[in-house]
Amino acid sequence: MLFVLILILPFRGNTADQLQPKMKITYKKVTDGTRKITVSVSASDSGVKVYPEGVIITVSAEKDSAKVKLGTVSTDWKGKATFEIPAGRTVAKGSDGFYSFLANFDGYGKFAAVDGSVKVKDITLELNFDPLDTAKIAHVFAYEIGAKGEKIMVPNLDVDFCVTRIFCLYPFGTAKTDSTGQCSVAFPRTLPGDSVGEVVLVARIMDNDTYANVETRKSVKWGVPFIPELKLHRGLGDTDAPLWMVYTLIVLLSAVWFHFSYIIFLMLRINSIGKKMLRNTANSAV
Amino acid sequence: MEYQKIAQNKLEEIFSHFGKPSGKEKILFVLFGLVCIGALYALYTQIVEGHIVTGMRDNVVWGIYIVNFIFFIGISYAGAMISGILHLLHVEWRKPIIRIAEMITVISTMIGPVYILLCVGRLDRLQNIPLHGRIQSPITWDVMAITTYLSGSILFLYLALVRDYALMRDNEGMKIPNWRRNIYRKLAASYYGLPEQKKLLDRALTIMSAIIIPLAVIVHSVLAWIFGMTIRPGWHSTIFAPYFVIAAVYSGTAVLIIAMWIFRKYYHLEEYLQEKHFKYLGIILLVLAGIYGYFTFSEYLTVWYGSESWELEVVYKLFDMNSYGPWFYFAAVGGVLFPMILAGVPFIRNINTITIASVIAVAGMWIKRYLIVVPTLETPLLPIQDTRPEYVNYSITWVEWFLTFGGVAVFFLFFMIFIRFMPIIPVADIVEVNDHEDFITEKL
Repeated sequence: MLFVLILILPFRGNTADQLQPKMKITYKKVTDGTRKITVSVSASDSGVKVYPEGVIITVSAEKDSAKVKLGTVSTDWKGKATFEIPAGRTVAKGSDGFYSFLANFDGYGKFAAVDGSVKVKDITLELNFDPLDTAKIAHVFAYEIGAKGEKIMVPNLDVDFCVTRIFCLYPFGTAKTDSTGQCSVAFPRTLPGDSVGEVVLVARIMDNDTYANVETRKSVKWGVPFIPELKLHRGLGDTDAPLWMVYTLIVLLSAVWFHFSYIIFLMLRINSIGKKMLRNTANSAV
Repeated sequence: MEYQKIAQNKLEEIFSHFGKPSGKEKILFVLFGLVCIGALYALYTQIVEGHIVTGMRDNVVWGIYIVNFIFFIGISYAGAMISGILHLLHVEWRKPIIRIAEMITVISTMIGPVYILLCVGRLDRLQNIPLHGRIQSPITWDVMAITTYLSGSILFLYLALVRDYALMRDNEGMKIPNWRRNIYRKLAASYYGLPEQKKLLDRALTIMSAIIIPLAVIVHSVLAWIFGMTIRPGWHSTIFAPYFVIAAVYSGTAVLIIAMWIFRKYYHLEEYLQEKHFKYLGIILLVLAGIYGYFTFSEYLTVWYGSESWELEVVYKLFDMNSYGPWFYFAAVGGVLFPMILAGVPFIRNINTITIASVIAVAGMWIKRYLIVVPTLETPLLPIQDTRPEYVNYSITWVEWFLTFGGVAVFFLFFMIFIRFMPIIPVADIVEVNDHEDFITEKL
């Protein structure tokens, strides 16, 4: 009965009706110029959010109504897939200067087809500073590249300044670019870095209507060197066990194995006594 | 010698119960063999595809493999405690049952640690445990303790068998092939019952009886400390070591009673495994159930009344009828009260009710170990975000079930094989010569 239950349980059937999913697309440009297009697909099944796992999403670029396929990517268990466009790859740009990215899901199983798009302009964030600057000022220069390759400054852009921490980014300032596309923020003097004071500075714009998400990172030794206090004692968290534990273990194990050895010795004696008796019996018989 | 004659007759009589395998035995043998083949296929699947075929994930890193490990090590207590203590106390009625108890100990101590190997994965790195094991880790203690315990259990069983091997070596009535007689000759270690040999063997047995008891306590304490010394809700408890020890003796006694019932029923050993043995063991079971119940009540009352939020999260999962509640109440309440009633009320206490009590106790103990291992791991201290539900909640896969049933099948198969090579009832013990060799008594 139990066997039957175990075998049957994993094979429960699926519903046949198709669900209409929703698609969300986000765009992010990172330090080395790589552009990441993240597509999330989800649907509601009787009020429960469900995700198509392992399905193919086709990513294309659109230029004046003409579509160019960039590639495909498959979703993870949360219906999420990220397509990366390396820095050197040329992508067709519309006549308005915007890049238009399309994502398409043809539908699979209980999930119907869905598509979505995102339209962004390309921008470069340059993070500049003088590592020896005692005032520790971080500067950002934001610009677009014009049709002839010239730099076009981007004013009035909100830029966040952060440093990386273990689990997240720690923001230490926000500034708006001026008419020259530049802004600056002073690095806090008390912020700890690693053992040599190194921190990773991050300048980023987030959820911008024109540029979406862009960030750039650079390392600098501006932090306060942080050397964790090492408590050297023999214990559970250290490489050496407490000495009393080592001694106790040796004594206990030695005592037990000594007795085991003694019992084997007794058995050998029993064996030799028996053999001796047999020899004596044989001799007396002769 | 009259002693030799009576003992040999007794030996032949006992072995006559284990003559040619019956049809039922053959069917059982094939059935257990098939389960073992299924388990081997599950093992192959696990090795080829990795631990993804089990229900274990990043959060619930221990599943029923560890439950089975604790369970098998627990039932090994049957031999260690019962035969050890009863031998030291010179309790006469122990004699027909100690061989079964000692065999349970050795077989379960051999099977239990295999589940650790199934659990850890990456067996190609196994050498790192002795090479780089940290002495301060309870897991390293466990490896050392179980190795020592297994060695001690085998030695204890062997010592108890020496006199029977000598009888089998000297037996001429039974048709034993020469190769088997040669093995008995070697194993008998030239024992001829000489007074000096008898004295040395008795000394060895007394030493082993005295050592095996603390050794068994240490093994299960160490096992408990692996949990107790980990700062997690449901585990970090000072009473875990004695709690585990009592649970182990309780389940070990129950398995012994079940094994005795099977042997009595199917091999017709009513003459040796008498009602009084069941009743005595039933009373031991009753006392152990009481102590175990007291520990359980004390543990959960303390944790629940203390109201520490992270501990309560686990406790409420155990109490919740939509979560682990039904299992918890069966294991912690039913698994204690029913055996106490069945084994404790004189007018319903008989061989069958005591055996039913034991079956309930064994089922309860297995489930209780599951409830110790899994709900705690499903309740991590750091909140889990953006994780698949199956990574947080453990569910047993077919691979784990097959390997679990495989272990049980191997346990029975070992028994079925062993009883054909060694007397299940210690003949030399029950037919004893008194100090002056002037009369022979049968001690049942």
